Amino acid sequence: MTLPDKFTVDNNKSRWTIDHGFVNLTESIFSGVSAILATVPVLVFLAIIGFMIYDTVSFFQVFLEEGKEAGASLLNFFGDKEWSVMFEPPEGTRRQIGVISLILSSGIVALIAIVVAAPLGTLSAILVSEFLPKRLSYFLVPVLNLISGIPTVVLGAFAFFTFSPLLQRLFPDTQPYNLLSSGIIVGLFVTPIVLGIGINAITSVPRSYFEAAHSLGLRKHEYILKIVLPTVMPALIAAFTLAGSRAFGETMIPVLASGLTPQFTLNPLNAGQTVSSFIFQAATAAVGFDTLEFKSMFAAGLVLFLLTLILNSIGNLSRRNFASKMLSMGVSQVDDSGTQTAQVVMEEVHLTQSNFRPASPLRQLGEVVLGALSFISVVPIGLVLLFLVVSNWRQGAKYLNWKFMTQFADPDPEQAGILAALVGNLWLVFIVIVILIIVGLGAAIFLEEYASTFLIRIFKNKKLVNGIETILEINLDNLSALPTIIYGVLGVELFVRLGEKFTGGRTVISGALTLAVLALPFMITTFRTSLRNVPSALRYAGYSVGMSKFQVILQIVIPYAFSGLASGVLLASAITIGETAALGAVVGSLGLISFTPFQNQTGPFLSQFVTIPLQIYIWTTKPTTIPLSSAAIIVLLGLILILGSLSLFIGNLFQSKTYEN
Amino acid sequence: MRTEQLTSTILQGEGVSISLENVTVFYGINPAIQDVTMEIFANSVTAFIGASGCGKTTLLRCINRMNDLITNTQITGEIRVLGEDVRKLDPIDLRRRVGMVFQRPNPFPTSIYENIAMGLKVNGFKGDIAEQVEKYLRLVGLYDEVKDRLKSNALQLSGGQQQRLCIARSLALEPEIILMDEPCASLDPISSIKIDNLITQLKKYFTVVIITHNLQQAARIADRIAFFKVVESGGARFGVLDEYATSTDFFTKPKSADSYNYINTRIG
Repeated sequence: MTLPDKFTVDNNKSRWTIDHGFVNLTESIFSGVSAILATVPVLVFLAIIGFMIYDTVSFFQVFLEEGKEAGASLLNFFGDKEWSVMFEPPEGTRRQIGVISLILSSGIVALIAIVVAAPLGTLSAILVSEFLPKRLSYFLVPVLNLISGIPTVVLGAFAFFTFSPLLQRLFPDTQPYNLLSSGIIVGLFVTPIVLGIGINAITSVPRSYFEAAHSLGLRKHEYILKIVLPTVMPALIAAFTLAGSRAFGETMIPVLASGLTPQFTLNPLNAGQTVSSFIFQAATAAVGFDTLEFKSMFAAGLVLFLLTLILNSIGNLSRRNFASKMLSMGVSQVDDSGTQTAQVVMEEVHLTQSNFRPASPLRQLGEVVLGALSFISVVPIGLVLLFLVVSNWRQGAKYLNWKFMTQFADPDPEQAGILAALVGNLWLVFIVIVILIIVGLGAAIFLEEYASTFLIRIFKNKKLVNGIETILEINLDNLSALPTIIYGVLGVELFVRLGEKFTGGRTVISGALTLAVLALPFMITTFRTSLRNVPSALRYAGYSVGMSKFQVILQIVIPYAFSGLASGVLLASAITIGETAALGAVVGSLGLISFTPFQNQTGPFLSQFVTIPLQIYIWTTKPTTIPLSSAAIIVLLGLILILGSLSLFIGNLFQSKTYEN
Repeated sequence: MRTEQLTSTILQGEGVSISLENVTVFYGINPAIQDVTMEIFANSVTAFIGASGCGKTTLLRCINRMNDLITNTQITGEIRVLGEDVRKLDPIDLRRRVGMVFQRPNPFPTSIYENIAMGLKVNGFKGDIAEQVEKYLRLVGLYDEVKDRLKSNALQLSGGQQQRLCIARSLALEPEIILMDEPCASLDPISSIKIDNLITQLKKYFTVVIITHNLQQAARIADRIAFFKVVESGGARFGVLDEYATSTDFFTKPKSADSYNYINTRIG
């Protein structure tokens, strides 16, 4: 190759007019702002703890004061069998505050949920990663995940109206409200958690195990049961713990299917109130902020917070341990118990193989049985989804017309429509998304791009900084796994009560802020993953042509990660819509709202509002309006499906643009 | 130090472009390369060779301060680029003047045109951007291959084309020095030869420092060879500069036993 004719290089420096002062200024402003945004999750964590403790203390003060003559003591919290905080005590007696009865009910629901979710999730994960062709699993996984996207109000209504009567036929002792139906449906609801972690873990098992096992003539079920499952067990246990924790704090399903009467019971066929459904009741009851009833929700909330925090920490820690173990397996195979297990198993199998037993039909059967079981494991969720769509369609289809979309809620079912809820919901989610993009992206950029340099400059110690970063990540993981009702409690305290001057109480802005705080940890984690997936070679390329960090992030990292970021935003909005039930009820209003936020004279931010899930909840509580709730469920499912597939579509849109590194 | 003698007695150059004085780099508490003193001459090609883990890449990345981006890196000693201490320069300005080409082609995931234009824009290039893009695409022999699809994504190019695009991207900034870290490692022999030819032509305008594991390539294009070796001392493994000589001297009469072995095990 020769140089082109008349090729010269002009080394005149004045041809480059970059203003380094300006570049450095934008750099400092950008990193400073993102650093401030990154403190938000930490502040949220501190705020939750602070309010919980403060209000719990004040709950006990009021309780002791009120029951002074009846001999009230702090120990009643653990000693009482009953929980009767919502009832004014007769003269000379005190309220019963035995939180154990609530914890027991939550525990029963969580336990049943784990019993359901653990085998279903594990088997489905095996199905997806070992039996199904890749293309089919691309389709199946989002469908199974749909059950987690369905607003829990809808699942709660299903549990009460459809599933409980079925159980009653099976066990005649079953109460109309019972813990069993909640537990099973919550179990289906949390199955995707097990499924997701399970698939990740199974696909991270080194390919060499698979090859070794098959070269030794192991059948598929032997490979799965003897090599894959023992290897991924720590991850699965983490998944069960996280699913259990989620089930423990689930709100709307127990509210609708297990009743609002606290009972000290161990029998899952009885009704019972869980911790979170009590919080829901206390938060939605029209009582003053200074009453014992209102404050009791913080005491219950603190219990819920601590219990789920412990469960989540165990789950998240063991999941991280598993991930780093798997990573080290890929790099070196020395001194690794997982490899050893595999080798021992191989040797054992190898010995039996050396007897040259003829291919036993039993071994073939084992493979068929495992395959069949894994196929069956997706049936329950599939049936529930199918039923929800078909039954709601049959009940609600005749109301689904233009009038329904453009009318306000009305005492007369024939006149009622969903306009206020639809507009309110979309408006609320829009504000939430704007907040999430600004705060979430800023925080994610800081944590991913700046944090380690920044922290090292302060602490000068790599190990300490790694420790701090791990703590920050675990904090985020824990925050995104906290029961949503905890955020409801935070929202009531922070935005409705303390911030009433600015938010006007139970208004759109209070609701949006609460939802944003709720979805923020999830959003930050998703954004961080997208940013982390940008190959470092690209960043180096940017620096090598003289870009500042700010320019690298803005011009290279964000455009490259765009599809991941955008699908994360859509996913968050789907979650947000689903969560507007519990939170909407707590922060919003359960009254009849017949205006959209834009028609209210208070302005769109300070208006009262209603959301679709909330409207569904309101309609399910009255027999005459139940068909309306079906129609609203169809609208909601459609909305969520659109957002969900849009998210998948955008995620895949740029997939072909792969980058090798 | 022996290297100092080597520099002063054997090597005569057109002018010193980069000078390293007692440069040592630590990652945390582990030294990666220790006590390198050498001068790299302008308008010539200098090849860094040596076994993996001898710190060649680390040393190269000190010259345009890319090691700043890895937390916990500590550099002692002095590095001067065209007489200026790199620590006193703004790293962003330094990187415009000291370009870098990486082991694997890493085009930005944007259009072919934008790949080159982006660097020009962020550095406030005063001239005609389109003209500059075309000039350097022509220089690397890519223009005729891509002129009809300048707006299409650079990732659609073949590996060899991508690497030439990356070279054009750094050359378009008209740096004084260009650092290349095994630029042909992931390329087929034909693309590799094209890049070799380009490099020998380029030294008229630029100072080239290139890392390579391919001794034929080093012999073909380099004016001088810096051979690094790994030494173990006190439980630590790090690289040192073992021999620095003109290409002819290095390959015909290597001074050190280690470089003799390195050349002969590789070629023989």
